Amino acid sequence: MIKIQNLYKKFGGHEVLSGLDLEVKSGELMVIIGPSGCGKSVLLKHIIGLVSPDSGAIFIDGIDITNLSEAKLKKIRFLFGMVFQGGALFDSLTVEENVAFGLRLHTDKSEEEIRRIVKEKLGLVGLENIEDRRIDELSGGMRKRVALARAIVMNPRIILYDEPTTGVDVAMIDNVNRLIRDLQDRLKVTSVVVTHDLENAYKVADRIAVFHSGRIARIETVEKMREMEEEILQKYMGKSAL
Amino acid sequence: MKEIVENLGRQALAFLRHLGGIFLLFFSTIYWTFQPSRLKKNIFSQMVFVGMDSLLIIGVTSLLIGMVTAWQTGIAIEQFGAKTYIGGIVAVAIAREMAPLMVGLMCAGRVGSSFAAEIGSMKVTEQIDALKTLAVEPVQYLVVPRFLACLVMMPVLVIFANVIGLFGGWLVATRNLGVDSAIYINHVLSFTKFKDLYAGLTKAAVYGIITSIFSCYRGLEVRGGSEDISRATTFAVVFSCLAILVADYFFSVLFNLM
Repeated sequence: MIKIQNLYKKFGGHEVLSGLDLEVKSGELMVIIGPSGCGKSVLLKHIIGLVSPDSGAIFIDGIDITNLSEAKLKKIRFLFGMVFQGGALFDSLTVEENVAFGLRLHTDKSEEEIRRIVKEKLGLVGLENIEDRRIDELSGGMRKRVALARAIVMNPRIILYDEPTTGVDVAMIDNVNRLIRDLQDRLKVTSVVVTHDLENAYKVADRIAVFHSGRIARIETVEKMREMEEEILQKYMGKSAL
Repeated sequence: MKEIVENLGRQALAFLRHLGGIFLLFFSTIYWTFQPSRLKKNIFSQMVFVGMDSLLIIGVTSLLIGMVTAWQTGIAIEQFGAKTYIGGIVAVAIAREMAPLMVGLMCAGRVGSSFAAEIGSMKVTEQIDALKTLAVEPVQYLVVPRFLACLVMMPVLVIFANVIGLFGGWLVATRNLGVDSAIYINHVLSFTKFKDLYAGLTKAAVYGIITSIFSCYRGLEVRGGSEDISRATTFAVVFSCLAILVADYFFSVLFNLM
């Protein structure tokens, strides 16, 4: 379970998080929605310990990660998989080397076993026979899928998605959404997705949190959110933002 | 006036911040060098990049430096009838000064710019954040292999530069200045002391540390986009060269005292 309490973060004079509270239950897929550039990605980076807050607490399975040493934080990060907005694939490595990265560094599995796992994870995200391809030979959608395969290769319990449909061909967006939902149902993980697109949020979420002025303004189920869509758009998002 | 003082103050603070950051990265690199790692393949590929891939440029430069040194000293000492000593003078000048300095400056340009640009672009595309999420320490994965590659391969390049430089000097001495080949080689061997070679190799190792740490530091410090990557590349080359020249001065004083 992820529990965030009274989180504050300033960059320069600009306050990005202003006393944010959020609770994501185990096995739930929570979508955090808000206009582009409002600080959703910063929140995600706090959850995985890439950015330290000015004050507040973030509990992962009951452990406050905000005061942990780098060594302890590293252990906590084994619980996570993260899909970055641009994929953040290592462009000097092949697809297979990217997906197998964590396995080769952190496990004693044989090369044969590693290749089998990589094949299996690539299969889970709908990719086959691309192990030897270079990253610059992949389309935007394929990169996102490879990033997802890399994120799940160590069997994480929590998956974080930063704008998973941004930069993906319009025709592929539904596929990515289906993939996120499918993985959620199959792997029974806890997931947090940040996006600026409410339509995509409806397709994957169990619950939707609205990010506004550095805080979570409200949290609703998909059904409730659909009913209140007009109000939410006007009050928190600014219609043009969507 | 106030603006000038403020500007100077800002520059001084930025300089101190960079200096502190460079020292922190250096000590952090030393720490991670001695931690167990499964990243040995990275070290090998960086050694190939720093060493093997620099051979051509270092070879051509060393040949020319050897030839120019032989010409200049040959013409100057000919007036005193000491032309036959040219082999010894070229050997000592190249081993102690020319080869390490040239390897240092060439690597700061070729290798340093590449380190800063590569790491900077990884920073911008969140690949360094991705490393952290995969529980990998970026210093261990990115800086240590580059640090070790420069530390080992730059002295190797200096040995190579010594040989090629001496060959360049031999070409000019025997073909243009009429020095007998055997005399040239004899003077090379009799003038060159172990201390000269040792001084050159020590300098090269330190220049390797400077190049790798300065360049990786600036790459890791990239903020924003491609504009800052180009600034990082310039910083890496300019400040590595500057630091190498400052270190070279102190080495010259130190080795002459020894």
